Amino acid sequence: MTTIAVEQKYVDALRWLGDAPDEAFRRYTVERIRAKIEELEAENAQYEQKYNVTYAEFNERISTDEAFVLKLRQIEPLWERDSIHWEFCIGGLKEWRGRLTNILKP
Amino acid sequence: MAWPPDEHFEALIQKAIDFLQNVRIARHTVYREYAILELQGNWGNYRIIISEVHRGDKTVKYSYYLLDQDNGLVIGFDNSADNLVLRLRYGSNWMSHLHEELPHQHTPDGDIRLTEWMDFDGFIAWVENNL
Repeated sequence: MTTIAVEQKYVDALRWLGDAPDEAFRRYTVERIRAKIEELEAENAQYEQKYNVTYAEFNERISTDEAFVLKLRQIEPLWERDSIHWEFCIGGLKEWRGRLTNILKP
Repeated sequence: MAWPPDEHFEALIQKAIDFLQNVRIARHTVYREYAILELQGNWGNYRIIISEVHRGDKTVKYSYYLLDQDNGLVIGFDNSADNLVLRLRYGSNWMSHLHEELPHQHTPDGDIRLTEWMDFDGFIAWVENNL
């Protein structure tokens, strides 16, 4: 547990709203994490649509499938750049989903 | 590579500002296990796009592209675990090295060559020596 300083005006406002400060803080954090997850899910969906595979399939076939790699260059001449952003997107999703699960667990 | 790569990213941004024109940071985010930086800029009439993702295990995947005025690829350097590169490096034994990330360069005509690890300094040296 970490103690943080909150301006009295916010504590007063939350009290009149009937919200405990820690519950308000929790709700705000959950809302922000969900927005981040939605943003990353949308990015992931764009790549899945562009390459017509999931990231796991993309990653596997890059390494194993010569024809797939040759086709990639036709779809996107800079596909390695996409693979960098896609990997970050998938890694971010895993990280933020983990944080959300951790916050929401009883 | 150090983790988190904050100092590396700051140095990369500064080098880009010093060497390129119209530098734009397209993406710069650091999470607990992944960090990404994408820089775009111009070198004369050429466009440069640099992307790096750093992982918590201190490994890095990168791509450095040089594009012409029509956004056509002039040359790209990256270390993706590309099947064509695995075959080039290991021949018939490529299946024993799946997902191994190997630095290489490629051109629009399909020519692929193995290279040393590429970083900003190496990339700029290539640009200055070859254009």
